[in-house]
Order: sequence, then structure tokens, then C-alpha cells
Amino acid sequence: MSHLLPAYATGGLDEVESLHVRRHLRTCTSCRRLAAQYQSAFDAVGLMVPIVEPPARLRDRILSDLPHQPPYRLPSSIRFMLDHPKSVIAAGITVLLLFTASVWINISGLTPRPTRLAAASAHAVRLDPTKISGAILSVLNGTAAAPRARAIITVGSDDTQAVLYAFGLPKPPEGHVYQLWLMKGGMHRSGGIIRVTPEGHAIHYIQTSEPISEFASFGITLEPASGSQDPTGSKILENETLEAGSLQDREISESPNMQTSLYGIVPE
Amino acid sequence: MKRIARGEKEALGTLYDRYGRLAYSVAVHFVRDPSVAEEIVQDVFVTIWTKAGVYDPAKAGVSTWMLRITRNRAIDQLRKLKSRKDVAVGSTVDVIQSTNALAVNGEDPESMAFREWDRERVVEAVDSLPEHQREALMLAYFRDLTHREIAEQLNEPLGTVKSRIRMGLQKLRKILETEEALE
Repeated sequence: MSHLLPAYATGGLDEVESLHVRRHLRTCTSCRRLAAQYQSAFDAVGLMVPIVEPPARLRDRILSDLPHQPPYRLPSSIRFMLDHPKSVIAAGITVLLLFTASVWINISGLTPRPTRLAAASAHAVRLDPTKISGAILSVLNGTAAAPRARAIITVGSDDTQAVLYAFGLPKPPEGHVYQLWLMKGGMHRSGGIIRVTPEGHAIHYIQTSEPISEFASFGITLEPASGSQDPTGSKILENETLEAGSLQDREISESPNMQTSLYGIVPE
Repeated sequence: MKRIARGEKEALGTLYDRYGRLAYSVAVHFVRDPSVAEEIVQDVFVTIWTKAGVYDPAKAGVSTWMLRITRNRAIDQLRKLKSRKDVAVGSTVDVIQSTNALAVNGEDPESMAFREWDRERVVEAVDSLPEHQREALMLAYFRDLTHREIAEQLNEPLGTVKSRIRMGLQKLRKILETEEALE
């Protein structure tokens, strides 16, 4: 695996290889450290650049136009946990004992049922394409219904915008469309209807109010032309998602809302 | 970075004084448009402002983290503009001369000297690489080319280019792996 890390740092691996490396880095501390060193070494090449003096106004422009909200801070609950680890551990043991007792007493009804979230409001929003950095969040593979189909989801710099690139999609039957789904915690949310070119390609922009990287999985199904509140049709593409921490420049959002807005674009 | 994470604008200003010139230089080198480069640098420091709380010094020094963000933003702009401007890789000698002409306004001597040592060390390290390895590595960085595109441009087998980049980066990593972050 270590022989792949220089190419990984320089973007020289294809999607499958990159996914393979990312999976390995989740569990291998030594490789993760080595990968970070290679990445830093590659980043350091930027120091070779000839120095150009920026305009004097740039400093004031930056400092006068900062977002008004304060920068990210750990939630108070997490800060408490970091400051009082023993209390947290004791509380955790207590909760575990109580949970175990409740399971022993009443087993039925504990299996979480998939629930449907509030339907997404499907209105177009203006997305900032410069925020789509291209870091791959997920790779979707075609099912038996579309064995040649494939898609990748790349996440934006602030982790609330993403782009789905799909290829090899068969033309949907008359009166049907492809619909994207985002899943986590047994719940699903519509990611919008995907418009496909005659060649089977699609580019679909996604925006959420919480980090896209927190969704456990994604899928595309075949639905009626007006779309569906729940996935009802056959599954066309399905995946597994990369670990959230593997993303660069990932921002943690505290927003509890899960509203997805949609803006589909078909490539020329 | 901790001060920035607490919302201290002055701390971000200090960081700009230390790295703003480098960020702007990288941005200009990619996009060749001063106005676009300004936007990129502004975006970089806004990103640092909003993400200072999750910055992990164990993963990267401040300068390399900032460089990574800058390069990513610059590449985003390049792709957005749908053009690949010719970026002269240049000779290492020219780069060293430009580096030595670095302006010193607003810099304290200690941080300037340390930063020069960083750059000088990187320049020396890159300069010590065999020419083919140095060329391949700089093409990969400054021109955002895939390894296959580099191979096509150099008219070399793909495997040869991959080996040169791998060996060049391995050597560079060994030289730099003990370098401390400035913060």
C-alpha cells in the first residue's frame, strides 16, 4: 500500500485506486501518517513559486469582509466531554447498563424503522461552483438493472454542496425518471430528479444544510416522472460512502435542519 | 491558529502578513490574472478563518495547509475558466533568484529568516533531484496534469513518469519530514 501513497498525494490514482487507498487509511495509522507526509511534501513544492507582491489593498479587503458569524467552535457538550472525561465515562457506563436492562426486559420495538423525512423542497438555488473542490465523497456502481452505470459524488469545500457525475445510465422508460437519495440513520432524503443526456451522462448539483459527508450512503432509483416521496422503483446505482474524516477542508456544521435544494444541470 | 479560532481578526492579519504573499504568488502562478488571484487569496483566508477550529497541526504545518487550500482554489478557478494557461515550469535558478528578492516590508526578521529557511530547504531539496524527477513533480504540481497527461506531454511511458514522481516525492519527503510547522 505504501507504494501507492506518493501517487495518491499527487492525484495520480484513478477513482478505484483512490477509494482503495482511502479505505486502507481509515484503519492504518502508519500509512495515514506516511500519506500526510507525502501530501505535505507535495504541498511544499508550492514554495518554489516566484514571489509576487500582492496589492496593498488585499489585506484590508480580506479582514474587512470576513463572515460575521464566529468561526467554528466545538459545541459546549463536546467541550464538556473533553474537560470532564471521567464524568462522561461514568455516565456512559450508567446509560449502557440501563440500556442493556431495557433490552432484556422488552426486546420488541427496538428495531428502528426507516422513516421518511420531510419532502425536500425542489426549487433551484444558486450554487457556487468554485466551492466544488472535487474531493470524491462516494462512488456509486450500477446494479443489475444498469450494469454499465457508474457515478461519483464530489463534495464542495464547505461540505454542504456537492456534485454528482453519472455515466452509462440507460435511457429511463417513458414516464419515469432517475431520482437521487441520501441516506443515514435509517432515514432517506430525496436528492432530486436527475436529468440524463441521450448519451447517458448527468451532472447534478446537490445542496444540503448539513454536511453531505455525514450521509452514510447514496442511491439512485427509477421513479415516476413527477418523482417520489420515498424510493419506490428499482435501484439503478448504489454505493458505500468514504469515511467523513478523509475529506480535506471538511467543515462541521451544527445546523439541525436537513433541507435539500436541487438544481440539475445537463452537460452540453 | 488558536487565536483565529477564537475569532481574533488581528491574528488572521498576522497570518496574512506571514503567508499572504506566498498565497498570492501561488495563485498568480496558476491563473495568471491578478484580479482572479486576489479573489483566490481572499477565499483562502476566509477558509482559514472559518476552519481554524478544526485545523490539525499533526496533519500539516500551517504553511503547507495554506498552500494546499490555495492550490485547490486556484485549480478550481482554472477549471471554471475552462482554460489551461501555460505555466512555465521555469528553471530552479530563476526561482532561487526570485526568492532571494523577497520583499521584507512588515515582516519580523525572525519569521522571515525561518520562512526563507523553509523555502531554501525546499528549493535545495527539489534542486537535488534528478532533472527528470524534478520536472515531473513540478508539472504535477503547477499544471494540474494527470500522470497520463504528463507522460503524453513529455513523450515518455506512463510507468516512467509515475516512477519519477514517486521517487522524487519520496526523496523530498525524507528531506522535509522533520521540518517543524511555523505555528
